[in-house]
Amino acid sequence: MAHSTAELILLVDDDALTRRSARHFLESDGYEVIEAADGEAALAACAEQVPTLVLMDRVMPGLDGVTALRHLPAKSGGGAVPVIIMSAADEAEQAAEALEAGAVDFVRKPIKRAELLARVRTRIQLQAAQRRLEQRSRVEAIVREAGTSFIEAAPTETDKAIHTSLERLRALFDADRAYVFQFEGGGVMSNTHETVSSGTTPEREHLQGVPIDVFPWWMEELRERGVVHIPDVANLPPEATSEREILEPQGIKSLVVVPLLRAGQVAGFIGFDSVRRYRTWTADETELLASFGANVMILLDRFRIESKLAQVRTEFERLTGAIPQAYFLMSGRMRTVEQTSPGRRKIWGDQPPPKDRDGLLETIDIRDRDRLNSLLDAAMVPREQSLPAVEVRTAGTGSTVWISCSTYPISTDDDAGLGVMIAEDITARKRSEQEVQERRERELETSARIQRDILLREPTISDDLAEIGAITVPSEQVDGDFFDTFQFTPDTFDLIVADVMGKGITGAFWGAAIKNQFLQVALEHLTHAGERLPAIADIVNGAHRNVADTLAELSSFTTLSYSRFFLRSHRLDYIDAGHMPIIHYHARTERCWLIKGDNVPLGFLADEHYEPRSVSFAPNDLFLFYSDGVVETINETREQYGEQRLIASIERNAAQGVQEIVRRTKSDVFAFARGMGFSDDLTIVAVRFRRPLEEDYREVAAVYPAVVDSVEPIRNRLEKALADYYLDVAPRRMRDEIVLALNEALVNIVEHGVSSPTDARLHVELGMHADWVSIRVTYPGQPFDWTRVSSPDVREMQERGYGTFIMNETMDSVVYLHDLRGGMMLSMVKWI
Amino acid sequence: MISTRKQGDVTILSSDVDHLDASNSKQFKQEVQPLIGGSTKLLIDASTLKFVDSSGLGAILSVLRDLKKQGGDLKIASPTAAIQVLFDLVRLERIVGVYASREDALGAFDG
Repeated sequence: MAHSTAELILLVDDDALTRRSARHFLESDGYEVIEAADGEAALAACAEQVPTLVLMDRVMPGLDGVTALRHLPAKSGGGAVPVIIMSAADEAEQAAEALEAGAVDFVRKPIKRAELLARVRTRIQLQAAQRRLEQRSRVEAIVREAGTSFIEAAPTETDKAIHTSLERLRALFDADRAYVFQFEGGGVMSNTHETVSSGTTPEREHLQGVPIDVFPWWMEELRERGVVHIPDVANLPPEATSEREILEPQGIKSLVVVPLLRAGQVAGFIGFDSVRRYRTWTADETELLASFGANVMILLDRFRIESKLAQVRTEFERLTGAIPQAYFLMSGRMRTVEQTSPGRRKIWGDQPPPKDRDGLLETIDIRDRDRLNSLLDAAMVPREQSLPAVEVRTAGTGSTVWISCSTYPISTDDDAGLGVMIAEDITARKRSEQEVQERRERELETSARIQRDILLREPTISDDLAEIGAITVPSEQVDGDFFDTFQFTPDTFDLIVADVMGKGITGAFWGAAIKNQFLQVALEHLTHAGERLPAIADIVNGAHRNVADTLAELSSFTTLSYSRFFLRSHRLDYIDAGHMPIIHYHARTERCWLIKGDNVPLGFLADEHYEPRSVSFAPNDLFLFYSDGVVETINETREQYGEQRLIASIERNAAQGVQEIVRRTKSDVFAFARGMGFSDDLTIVAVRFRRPLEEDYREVAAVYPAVVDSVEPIRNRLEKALADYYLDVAPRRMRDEIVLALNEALVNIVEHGVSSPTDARLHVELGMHADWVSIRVTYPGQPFDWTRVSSPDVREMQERGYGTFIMNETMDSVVYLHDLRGGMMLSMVKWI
Repeated sequence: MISTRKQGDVTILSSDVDHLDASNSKQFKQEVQPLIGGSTKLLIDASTLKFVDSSGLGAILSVLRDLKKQGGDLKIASPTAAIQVLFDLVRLERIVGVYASREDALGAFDG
């Protein structure tokens, strides 16, 4: 058995011969022996150096063996020094007495080598085992106590706690130096903690920023075995040359080192050096040291995070001192409030700062808590863009403060779970938003009132046989839709339906202003023209002159439809300034026709001349006017309501009264929109005239194949009818012109207009009134832009293209209408 | 559909039908075309035409264009009231001489 230090045995006997032979036997077995001749001398020797075992004669002059062993001092680690009694007497009684007195064994004299060594060896081994257990228990106690003290240690006491434990272990191991090294990055390490035995020079100051790679073998051992144990530095393996060169000059004989591990990587180490003597560490001890190392590491890491936090806090304090926003420095992934900035008091007043998230949420209005909580939950999740801020209200009885909260994780090298919540007082902004909202609502209310009281006054008509119905649904943003009616004579009825571009109060005022212009101009004309009815062209052009410049300046415009119904003679004169078509429901055929004009909206072109057009109607026909909001209403699939549905609704409800037709049409639009809301006003106006035709009204209606050969018979038939009716009234030339226009129209239709000529039919209707004539030709065909046909110059000797020109020149109104079933109608009117 | 006769160097043309319109304007052109050559002087006696429409007018203008290309000339005599309505509408007199009688028209050629 190899001993770095031999076991020390005290040999006590008054007989020198016995001492000599016993010493010889013991030394031959490798023990170190000191001698004493009597009990007093033995006690003195023990006081100087405590032996591992005492071998003592029972009978000695003076203090005998049994008495002396009662006075032996305790061992260094506690417990009595074991004593083996030697006695010549071979008596059981004496042996029992000795054992009772505390001896551990009994050897008979004369001493026999084999017996002596067997007894001593057994005792020494037992002793060593006991010592190891005691040592282990002591190390365990220190490591355990260190663990406890570390947990309880305040951050500022970290170094002290490590130092205390390190010193206790050093003392226990009787080592001369105990130390902690921590790696610092950049391939260097520093001695952060050190304790030394008395008489040993501290080295810590010199061991800062030492390159790690000066201990290559050592590091390899730490990584591979988890311990470096060197009982004798002189016996280091050849690959540890670098280590030896450093350790030997320091006089180090033995050492043990365990690693400090962070996430499985060596991040430093704890070691114990023995200078004065050789020492070994058992596997139990190194294991416990490793456990101690783990505790130290936990403490150091905690300290590192605390230091980082302290550093962040200082920085936080510095940065947030002058900032009006309130900053909440939070740890534990936004769970614990570590610190708040001075700005907090500006929002929360004198309330103490919350300790944690729950405390913070309690200061927030209960309606907003979940949203803030979600924000805090999401705060630490790494993402490309920062989270959008959340706007919340403070709780409590005082005036509500609106806060915008945003969060940012603080990135640290080691994911310390720190984050910041920034709370900004946005009450002022919220209040002004609210004011803007309120102002908007007030404005809306005003425009709604203007619209209700001025723009959309309930239309009336003073004719027992006429009906009018109107409905307007203002959108969320009221605009300048308006309609108005004038009845200048008992036999006429004027209706204006307009849509002013411009929303809210501006649009409403514009609507009111333009509406007023029409009334003003109409009144002027009435004054100047005496009893004559002001022409609708005069009214529209006059009003346009008055508003065009202003509209142009404002880049605004107004679409408008001005209609005048001649109730007795059943004619509609209208000017369409870019408005929606008028829907004309023919009671007799139960078909709807779309009536369009060709003028641009008011305000588009300053020199636009507004030309009236005319169409005839029959008793019980229905006219429907509507704003673009109706057909442009969209449903959830973004489909528009459209003309098709509108016409279907009218045809479906044509048997109803006009009020009911309007109401049902509105319901149809609403059902279509299904709660999608309306971005534009919906205006629907319907009129119907029931007055019968005049007695002198005559009509010729006939159906012909849509071929060129039909032209001449139609021409001849109508020419005759006109001649018969207007013989004494209309000059021949006028009749010739009408026939010519009819001829041109028919030729155009059969040559260009009819979509399926083989079986197509022309429905020709000639309506003759006392003072005007109407010609309508209905045929299957596609809508086309009849307003864009140019007039040729005869000097260019073109063969074609005079037809439309002739029609427009000879007739007072030429209009093409279409329905949505592939029907076209040419409608011409001529004043007689 | 047309009848012609010569008076001096003027070819006098009259219609056998009382209308010149979409139904027969092509035929009219086809029949007049052979009469044009050199410096033809053509007089349309319109007294028999009760109705002419824009197709008929187109045919007349087509003939006029061909005549002018070859140095010829066209005049119209004795339009009925119904035809005069059309001529007035398109201001035909700006390019074609229209005369109340055949004699006036013939005299105009000489001038």
